[in-house]
Amino acid sequence: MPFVLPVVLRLIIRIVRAFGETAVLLSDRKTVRALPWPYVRSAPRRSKAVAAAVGALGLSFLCLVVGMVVEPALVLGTVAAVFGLLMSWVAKRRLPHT
Amino acid sequence: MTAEAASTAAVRAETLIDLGRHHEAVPLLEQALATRPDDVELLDLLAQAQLPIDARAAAETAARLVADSPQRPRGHLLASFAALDLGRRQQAVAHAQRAVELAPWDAIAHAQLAQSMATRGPLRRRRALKLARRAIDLAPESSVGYVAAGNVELASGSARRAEKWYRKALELHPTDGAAQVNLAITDGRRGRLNSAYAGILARLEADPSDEFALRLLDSTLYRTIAHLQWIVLVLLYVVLAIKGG
Repeated sequence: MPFVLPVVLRLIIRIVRAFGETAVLLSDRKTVRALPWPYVRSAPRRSKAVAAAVGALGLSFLCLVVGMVVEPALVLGTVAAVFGLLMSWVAKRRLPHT
Repeated sequence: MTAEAASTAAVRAETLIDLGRHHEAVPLLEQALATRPDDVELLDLLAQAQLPIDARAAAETAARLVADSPQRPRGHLLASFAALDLGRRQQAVAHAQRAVELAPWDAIAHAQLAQSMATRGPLRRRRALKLARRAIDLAPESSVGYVAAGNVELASGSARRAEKWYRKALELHPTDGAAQVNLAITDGRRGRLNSAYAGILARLEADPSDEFALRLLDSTLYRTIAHLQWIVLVLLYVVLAIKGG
């Protein structure tokens, strides 16, 4: 049990940061519009891990929508989401150190 | 190649390096060095041109420069930059230390020693920060010492303190590329994705081919994808809990 608490805490912090940071980013329309979208769109072509992460993100989102009606899709979506997280971590690890 | 032609090549290469066109400067310098292999000025410029594109080649050129003129600090300084890029921290520290010994008045040498020594741990942080402050004292009008101090803080894990130093560097030189990009790194670490993107975009506006800024853009992009994935995962869990309950 003493090992579980720090992990749960880290998980909660990670999720809160994900929601908070994404909300702040999306509310800053000027920056979002200024992003080099052709370069951003080409990210999956530059890295297989990013392609897998983006694919998993799309699939898990689709499963979330379908899962409202067909429950088993939620399980598939969860698996895809975990795989996507793993792939985005792999993609970041493969980048040269910044 | 005559001495005059080599000098012209050096001037052209220096301009290309200043413009960030390192790829074009390398063949020009290699051609000049083919006929004047011991020209220290050409070797110095070649190592500078190679640094952002091929750290391994830059390390080899810097080693030649050190062998040709061991009493000049430039070779050691460039060797330290290359070693740090290659993750060879001990080598980077040794070369930077030698550069400081040879040129104790040089702010860049002190700044580089500070950066190469910077790791986690309060003792190392304090020693590295002292060197960065020395660099600031030696050249208070230059941003070099401030950026080094920021890098020391960033390496020690304090993005908040690092930000302060980068902002000071930008007050002195608003277009300082290293300060702009490193400020974007601190923004990313502090969870300010929009500020991180804005900093990277400002850097890319000045130099669209800046490799470091593009790498940082990729890193921030992957972080955004991971955030979105976490959000979807939480929503999936919530829907699953509602349906199951």
